[in-house]
Amino acid sequence: MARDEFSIQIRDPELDAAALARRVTDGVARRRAAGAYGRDVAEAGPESLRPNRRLPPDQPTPARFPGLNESLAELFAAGYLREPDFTSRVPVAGGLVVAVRRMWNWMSTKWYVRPILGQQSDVNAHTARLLSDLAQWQQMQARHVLELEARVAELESRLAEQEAGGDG
Amino acid sequence: MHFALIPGDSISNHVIEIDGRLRAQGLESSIFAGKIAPELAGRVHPQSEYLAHMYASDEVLIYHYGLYDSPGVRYFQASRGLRVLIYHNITPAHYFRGWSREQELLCDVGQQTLPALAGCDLALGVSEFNRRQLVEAGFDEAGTGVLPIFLAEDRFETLPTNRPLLDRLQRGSTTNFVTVGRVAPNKAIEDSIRIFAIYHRAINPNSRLLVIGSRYLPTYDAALDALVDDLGLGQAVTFTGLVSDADLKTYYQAADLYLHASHHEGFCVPLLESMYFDLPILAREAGAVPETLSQAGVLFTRPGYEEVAEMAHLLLDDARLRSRVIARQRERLADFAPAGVEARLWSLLGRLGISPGSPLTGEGG
Repeated sequence: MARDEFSIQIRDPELDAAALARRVTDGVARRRAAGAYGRDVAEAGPESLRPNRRLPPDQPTPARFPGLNESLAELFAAGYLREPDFTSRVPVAGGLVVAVRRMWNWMSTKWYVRPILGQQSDVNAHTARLLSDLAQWQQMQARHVLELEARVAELESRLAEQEAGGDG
Repeated sequence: MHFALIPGDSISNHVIEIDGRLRAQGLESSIFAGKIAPELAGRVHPQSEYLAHMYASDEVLIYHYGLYDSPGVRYFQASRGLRVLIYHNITPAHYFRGWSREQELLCDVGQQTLPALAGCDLALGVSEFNRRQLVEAGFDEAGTGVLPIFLAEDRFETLPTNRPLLDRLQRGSTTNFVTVGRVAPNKAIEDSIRIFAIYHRAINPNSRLLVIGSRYLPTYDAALDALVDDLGLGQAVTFTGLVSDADLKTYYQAADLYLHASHHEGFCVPLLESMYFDLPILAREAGAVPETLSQAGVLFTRPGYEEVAEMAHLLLDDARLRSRVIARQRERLADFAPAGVEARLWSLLGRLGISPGSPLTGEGG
């Protein structure tokens, strides 16, 4: 720890930052001289919490399955089933044709087909969600595999060095 | 829409506040979430129910992104109506390296996914710090903006105080430091403990540090416990775990100083809460913290533990300094007044032609 680097920032213009900095510095110097601080807190606790601990090296980004995200987005979009609206190209009587079809739909299929559409939409949603979760899992595993590959390469390299040393 | 709706969670509160304000202006709004706390089950719809809205071109989906959520991302990408992203920031993965492989990879995937959301109609950061990250990720700068998090002050006003807890915390005139947030490596709880250890050892032994927030990484928790033991702090450091809103209010009421050593924050709601409870703030200059504080509070730039502990002592001991810092914090808090944030919300939504009373339906706030 760099003991002489001042680390406080006061941005309120109505406060005298320089005077406060002096008070802090003087207070630290006085307590340090009196031996009030004891052992360095930066050295306490496990190595993993030390201020300058070395992190494992970062790993390269794994390659992505091309088009996966787009396909999943399309699947979500297409998964919800809607009842088609009735239209007719028949001139003049087209409106009547549409009305009859709507009436027939109301009488014959509404109470039976609509729940099935709902069930199928639910199945589609769950399937898309599952695939999406699997895609997320795959991305995480791909990253994991890259890390393991890097470790294997490092171990192989060390082994090769040891073997070369033994031969010599 | 958000990954999860949980009482007390800052993103969940923000979602609920936006939803309430849209409704109050006559817009039809619904909340969707992948995980829903039982207390909110009546108010929040399961995420899969959003499918029924996805085709509607006259609806708006507001997606809160602060944690990678695979289905939520797909819904957002596939939605046919207007799409608004509210970015709460994703913790850089390297903070979890060596602590939790799962969290590290989840953050990594979350960050890598951000550019894939850039095609939306409006992208809002909860801070300028977050907005800049959106632009760096490839979002069109003209389509970005800043919408700070709502701090619903009435939430604290209406909550009861936990009297037995308050009495216990205030007994013996103990000086209470608090730090609030998930117990995670990016929050550098170890630095808060070290700063407190100096204060406790060299300045005021009648003091305690209260670490308030959920503990969910056993490796990190064990290391922090070992640090507390090694520093001989024993009962002077308390990890409360996740607490109720009423207990959180009580801890703030009992506190004398708010200490925040986090390396990475996208906004930092506890700073606003500390301003509200008139707690002087001593926080690391990192992430969006300097922006949220502006000229309020006191920042430290590196863990010069002895200097920071000495500064904490001044904030606690010098009544004039303390009252000046609190006064400036009060001024800063006014900048985040809910009415102002709401005005900004409408101004930003106005870019998409959405205004109070406009015929918007099915908003996924």
